[in-house]
Order: sequence, then C-alpha cells, then structure tokens
Amino acid sequence: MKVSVNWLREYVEIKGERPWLEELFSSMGFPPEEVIPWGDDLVFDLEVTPNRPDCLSHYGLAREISVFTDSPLKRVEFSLQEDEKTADFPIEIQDRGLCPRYVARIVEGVKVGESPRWLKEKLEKVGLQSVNSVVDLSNYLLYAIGHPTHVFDLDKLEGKVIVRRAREGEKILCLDGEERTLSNGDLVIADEKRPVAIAGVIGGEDTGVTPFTTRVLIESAYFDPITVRKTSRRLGLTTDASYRFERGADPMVLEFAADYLAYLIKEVAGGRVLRGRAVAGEYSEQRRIKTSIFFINSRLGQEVEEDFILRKLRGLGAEVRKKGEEVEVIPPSWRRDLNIPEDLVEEVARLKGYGSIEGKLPPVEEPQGLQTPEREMLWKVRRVLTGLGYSEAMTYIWTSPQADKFSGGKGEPIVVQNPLSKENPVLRRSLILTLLESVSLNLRMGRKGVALFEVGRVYWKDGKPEEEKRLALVEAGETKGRTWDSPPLQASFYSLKGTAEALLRVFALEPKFALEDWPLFEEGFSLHWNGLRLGPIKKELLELFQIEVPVFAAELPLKLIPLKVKKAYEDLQNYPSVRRDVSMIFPGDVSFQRIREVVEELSIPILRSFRLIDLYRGESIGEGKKSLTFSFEFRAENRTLRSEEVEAELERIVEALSKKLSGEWRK
Amino acid sequence: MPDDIDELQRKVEEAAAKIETPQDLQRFKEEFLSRKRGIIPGLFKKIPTLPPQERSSFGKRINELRELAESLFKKAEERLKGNLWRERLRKAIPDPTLPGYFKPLGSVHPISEVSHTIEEIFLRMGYDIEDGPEVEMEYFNFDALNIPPHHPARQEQDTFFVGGGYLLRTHTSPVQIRAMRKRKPPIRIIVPGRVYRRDEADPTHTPMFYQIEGLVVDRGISFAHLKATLETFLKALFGEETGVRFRPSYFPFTEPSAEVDISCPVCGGKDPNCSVCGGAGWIEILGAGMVHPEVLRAGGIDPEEYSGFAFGLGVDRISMLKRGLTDIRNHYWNRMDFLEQMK
Ligand SMILES: [Zn+2]
Repeated sequence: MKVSVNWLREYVEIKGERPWLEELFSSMGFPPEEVIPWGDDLVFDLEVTPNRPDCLSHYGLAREISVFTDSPLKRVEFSLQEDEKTADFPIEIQDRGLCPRYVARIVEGVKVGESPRWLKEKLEKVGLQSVNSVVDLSNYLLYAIGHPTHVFDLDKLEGKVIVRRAREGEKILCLDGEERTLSNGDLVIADEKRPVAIAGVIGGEDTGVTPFTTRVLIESAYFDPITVRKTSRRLGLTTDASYRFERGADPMVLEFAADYLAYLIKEVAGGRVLRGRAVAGEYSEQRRIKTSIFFINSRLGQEVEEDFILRKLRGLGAEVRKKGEEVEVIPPSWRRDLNIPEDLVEEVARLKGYGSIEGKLPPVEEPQGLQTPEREMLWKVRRVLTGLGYSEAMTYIWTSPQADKFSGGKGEPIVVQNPLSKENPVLRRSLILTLLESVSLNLRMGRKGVALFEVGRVYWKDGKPEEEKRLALVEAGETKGRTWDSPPLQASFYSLKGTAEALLRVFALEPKFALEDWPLFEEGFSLHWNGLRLGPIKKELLELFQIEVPVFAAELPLKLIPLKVKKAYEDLQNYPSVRRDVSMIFPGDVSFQRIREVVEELSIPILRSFRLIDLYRGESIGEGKKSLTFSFEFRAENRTLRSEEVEAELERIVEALSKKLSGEWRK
Repeated sequence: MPDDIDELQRKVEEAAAKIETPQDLQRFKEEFLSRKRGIIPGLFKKIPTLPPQERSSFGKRINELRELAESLFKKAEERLKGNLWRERLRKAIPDPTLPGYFKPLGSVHPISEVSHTIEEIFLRMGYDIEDGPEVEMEYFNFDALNIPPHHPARQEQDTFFVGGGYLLRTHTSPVQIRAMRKRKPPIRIIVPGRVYRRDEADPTHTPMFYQIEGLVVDRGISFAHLKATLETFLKALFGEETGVRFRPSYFPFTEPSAEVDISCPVCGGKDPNCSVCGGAGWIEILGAGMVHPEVLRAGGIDPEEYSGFAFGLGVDRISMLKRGLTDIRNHYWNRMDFLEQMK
C-alpha cells in the first residue's frame, strides 16, 4: 500500500527521517518495497501482511506508529451539521450471515464537480486517478481511515436497498464498464429491480455518481470476508474495497465512516446531510483472550516487564484487565487478527522489537539424526557417479502424454489439471523422460556429449496417488571427452551398463540381468534385474525430443540399493595370483550370460575372477562363429598355487564349455 | 709389458665411452672380455710365460683391468637400457607441454550440494531428516496448516492441482503435520525436498524449487530458542561475521511469525548499488515462527503442553547467493557446462 508521510503527520508525529521510517516500518512487519520522494513528501510503498487490514490506511498506520513510538494519536474530529429532514430510507438485509450490518447516510443538493487540489494530490500519491469530487472523497476516506464505502446516485435507485445473494446468471454492468455475470455465491446490493453493486467489490454503472447527481446515498457496511474473496477470485477482479473486505473490515467503524464521508461531501461538494442514518442489521462481538504474563514470557523465552506488556496492549486499543495471574484482553474491533494468547505474544515481541529478544539454544537431551542411512547412501551414489563422469541433474517433473506412453510406468498417469504448459501436463512415470529433455537441450546448445544422472521421484495413480524414489542415468554423444591421440569415446550401451555394474558393486550387488523388452528401450536390447532396467532409448521416443544420436539409459528404484551394505571383507595373504588367458570359439548364438553360468556352476574355489577380454568374429574362425578370449584369475588364500592345480581347473572349465556350449579351445 | 697394459687400459676406457648401441656393447664384450677371443682373458694365458717374480704383480694388474672392463661394461649396459627406456618414453611423450588427457568428472547438483551442507549443520545440532510426499493432500498442504479455504494466504492460483483432493505440495510444511503425527516430542527435524508453484519460469522464479523445512516441538520451546537456532545456523552457513535480523511477518501456520534477513554477503551493506541487496544491506533469507496452536493440534499435539518453532528456507536462493548466480533457471536447465562448474 502506498503511504504519504505528510498525510500520516495529520494523525501522528513522525519523529525521524527516511532511514528511521524504513527501520520503523520494517520492525512493524511492513517492509517498504519502494520509497518515492515526492516534493516535500515521501511516499512509501509498504508490504502490509494479509493479517493486518487495519493498517491499510493512513489513520490505521498512524495508530500503529503511535504505539511503537509512544506518540499520541490525533483523532479525526469533525462536527456534522444535519438537516431537518430525516434520512428515512428502507434497507433490507436478506442474508445476515454475509452482511450483518448496513449503514447509510443521505446527502441532498450535492454539486458534483472537480476535486480540490489537496484531494487530487492525496489520491495521486496513493496511486489513484481523480474521477469527481464525490467518488474521490469515498476513495479518500478509504485511504484515510481504511473503511471502503460506496456512494449511489439516490435518484437512480428504484425503491429500497436490498442486500441479497445474486441470482444465478444475473448480470450487472460495473463501474469499470464491464458487464459481469453473477452466481448464487455472490452477494449484491440491489434495488427492487436489479443489482446495483457487487457487495464489497464494485458498484454498478447505472447508479454511480455522475456530474448530474444531486442526491447521494452513502453505503457503509460490513461484508463477509470469505464471500467477498470468493467473488473477487471468481471474477478475477480485485479492488481497493475487496482487498480490505476480504481481509476483514472493522465492523464497528460503520457509523463513523458514513458520518465522516457525509461531512466531507458536504464540505467539498455542498448539500444537506439528512438527519440520522438509515440502518439495517446489528453487529456485536465479544472476543476475549485469556492469558498471563508468565505465558507470554515463557513463549518469548525472555522476561518482559509486566508494565510494558499491559501498557502496550492498552496502547493498541485493547481493553486489558488483570485479575491475579490472569490477564484478560478484549482486542479492539479493528484488530481482526488478535484471537488467541499466541497472537498477543507476537504483539509483545513486535512492540519490544524482535531484535531485543536474546537468542538461547534449546537444550538437546536426546540427539536425533545420528543415523541418516538414505542420505549417506545417496551421497555415496553421487560420489561414485560423479567420479565416473556423470553430472547430477534435477529436472522438472512434467512430461507429455506422448512421452508418457513410453514410460512403462505403474498404474495410471497423474495429470495436472492446471499445467503451466499444455503440452506437458503429466507427472513423469520415469525419470528418463524428463532427463531426455535435458539431453535434448544440451545437444541443441552445442554440447557434444551428455552424461547425466538424477535422483528423483516418479508418480502414478492407483486409486490414490503414489510415488517412488528412483535413480536414473543417461548418456549420449561423446561422453568421455576426446584425446589428441585417440578417437573420441562415444556413449555406449556397454559404458552405461558398466557404470550401472560399478555402482551396484559399491553396494555389494551383483546383478543377474535378463533380456526383457521395455517400452522405453529398443526391442531386443533391454536388460532387467530387480526393477533396474537399461537399454538404448527407442528411436520414436528420441524423435519426440528431437534427439538424433543414440541415448543409453538406466533406471532403478532407489530401494534396490541397500541402506546397510553387508560386505564380506577378507584379509589378503601374500600369495600370488595366477592369470591364464584362454581363447575359445563358440557358435554365434551362445550368449555370454550362458558362458558365465556354465563357469559359475563349476564353483571353483580358487577362481577369483573371470573376465572377457576379447571378442572376435571373422572368416578365419568360420562363418557364424565367434571367438572369445577370457582371462581367469586364480588365487588361494593359504598357499601358493601350483601350476598343475591351475591347469587342472582350466581343463575343467574348457571341458564344461565344450560339452555344454560346443566351445573349441584355440590353443 | 706394464706399458702395454696401461695402453690397453686406455683402449678399454675409450671403447667403453664410445658404446652407444647394443651392437657396440656386444663388440666391446667380444673384444675385451670374451673367454675365447677377448684380449683380457688372453692376457691370463700369458702368465705362465712370464718370469716367476713378475707373475704375481702382472696377475694382479690384469685382474684389476678385468674388473675395470667388467664394471665399464655393466655401466654401459645400464646406460644403454636407460637410453632405451627413455627412448620409449620419448615416443610416448613427444611434447610434455601437450595437454593432459581430459578426464571427465561429473558434479553433484548445486542444489544437492547446498542442501547437503545445510543438512550437515542441522544434523550436528541434533536434528533428524524427515520426508513426505510431493503429491500431497490439499488438507495437509493448507487446512492442517491453519490455511482454511478462501484464506487470503491460500494461493490457489499458484497451486498445481491433480484432482481428487490432491496437489503438488507448494511448500515442505505439510511434512510438519505428518511428522508430528508419526513422532512424539521432542521432535527436531528438517525436511529437504522439491516443492511446486505455478509460476512461469523467469530469472527469479521456477515452477519447481527446493526447500528445507525445520520443526522443533518440545516442552517450553520459545521464540528465543528459534532465534538462537537460526542465528547459529546462518552464521555456520554464511560465516561468523554474518549479521542476522528478525522482522515481524505473517504466516498462517506460525504465531509469532518472523522473516529473517542476513547482512549482504556480497557487499556487507557498503555498496549502495549492490546487485544482490540493492543497497539495502540485508537479504531476506527465510521465514520462521512459533508453531501455531492449531497446527500443533492438527498434528495431534496438545498445545497446552508443548510448543514449537518452525522455519522454511529456499535452497535455490542460498545456492545463488553463495555462488553469485543471478538466474535461478540454471538449476533446472541441467546444462552440462553449468553443472560441471560445481566441483
Ligand atoms: Zn549488497
């Protein structure tokens, strides 16, 4: 809200300059967003929190300043000269819940004209444009004392004023020139024929004050905050009035506001103020907060003197009674935010100054957080993968229905009803889908290679929403950089598979992959083990992301990785290991998996490792055949192996491979 | 005879000095040391032909010469081996100033990194890490946090709804309620995680960002406890010299509520044109407050017996501040060139 310092001075003494004011507003909880020097004046744009509608006016803010700075508040005083004629005007409230009380004043013989300079200038400072003297005064009143009023051209009202719910589909042409269609949830001010204002939001064009208006009806009412807010949201229309009503107007200021506006109109635009007010409804409230000095101080964690507390609470306008230990507080009607003892704790803290409360660390008797296994596991994952050249990504979770079709996800996709981008309303059911977006961006930006991983969640619906934490890896292009004496290393299926295997090894997991098709991956190339899936991304999916190079990806549920790793460590004795390389020719359709199984079935205790070090196909070994070279490492823990022992085991291996898989030893 | 030997010694020394190739080495061996044709072994055969009184001294002399030749041979042999080794090296290292092979190192995401640092500080203060769903019930995201429907703070237009009373959580605060229902006081937790707001991405907003929520519930927890906790945390994160300022604010789920500023880590308040603090000298860093009694109740905790404090901070903002970055979108574009700086 824009605030003129000179205007504030009409109600309270301002004891300092700009920095003092900035500090003061900040310590109240209303940090200035902007300060605009304005001739001999300063205009502050304050960020007033939604719980403090009472500070959305100069008088309201001055009231706050007076408590903070112990300066007296100058009341708004005027003496209203009333006419002989009484303001007999029928007002009917049909929904007391939404409008408990409605007060009206009538002024006749008004000459609506241009506003005087002082008025125009004030409105300009708060960011309003002058319309005419009467409308300007209603706006002035709002920025002066905070209560929104509305002024009707009385001659345009047909019959009585009725406060009622709008009829479904009812239309009203508003003061801003727009016609709006109302619904039953809206509250309107109507005459006997039609709605003439949307209560607390905006007036109707037909009954507004024009230069030809001579008789005016001043409306000063209290409207239900929720109703005003709903209507304002639904219409997408926030006005100075709705902004205040939806936060909570002061229900006890209605008469004062009506009188003051009548007085101002008479002063500026002339006319006769009819005797008395036309009134409907009643408003009463009895808010009482029971607390104690002990409670306030124990919540603050600091001893604030009783005197200070009682004096300041009274300064706020509250009635404060102390009976024994108990302090009973009746908050002022304009402080809609004071309802429970904790609200008073904040008042005391604010008035004392948040800065003056001395910090004190809470005692920690039982330290928690000694074990954070998932966090530690994740950090290990990050260490391993970054060490292998992959960078961690964090991608947006939204994807397209087209991409989702490839996800292979569980259940049904969750779709955002109000997505930011219409193309991407679906919550990902695979991290790979959103990682592909990043791969695509990197390639478009001229990056030659991409190697990314992400720890994140996937989401799906199975009756109710479900989510699962996952880890995914992608690589594409020249991932491993390029050296000046060898060709660039390309992203590959086996590189990615090796990374996955290395990562799992860290957690003592030995995957036994099975060939299994999966919607994300090209058919016939994708592997699966315990929920871990990897393979080359389907071309059709890459095309959705305009990616023209192969992308290899893996994804696994995070729960696959154990939080407690049970590793069998062994002391190494100083016995040397013996390596033997063996080349064998196999029929082309024998998979490496089968070869490994055959070797493992032999369960040779001294065989420590078994690696494939060469793979060759060519005419020299016969059509449809392949030659594989294995490297076997043997070691015993209690003796140096004799070469006969090693040869014997090697014979067994070769024999088994020959028998079961028709392998031939190439000596 | 002795002169001849002196002469021979000179020849041996000269020849040894000239050994450059394995062939030279072989020739040297054959010329001087070979049992069959070598000059030095040949001299031994002459011993019996000498007068007896000369035999001993001559024998000693040629023995010395043989030892010398053998040691020169060995030295030359080693020198040659070394040359070969170096030659191989020279081939492998044609120019030591050529660049090293590029070893691609990945980086941890800047958000993970900052979150990790922050978690560490709170873990040391005895906090536990808690977690909750991102697709959250409207009730936990709003109502249970004392934000009833149509409350001005209920930013419906900023919320992604997914139907069935569910939404993408707009803050990590719903985990407060979940944690209170799950645990018994004393509760000391932090909740790091992604949150979602329906904001178009621009240099200071992204529709997804990262928060860390904190919650402490125990008997006698006070505003003074909140202050000291956050002061300790912020000084640990930004440095001992950092100024910390608490300002009144408003959140429906805390009472009293505070906004916390730190002194500008870039200019320290000394630069009126500072791009980070705009010359104000202070930067808003987090929101906090005493847990509202309605929120404790929603969590199944009796506000008559217990009190608590809570705070929430944006990790993106801290990442940007600590790294001097100005465009938050970098965190989620995931460009390798950006990420790889984060080592
Ligand atoms: Zn600065």
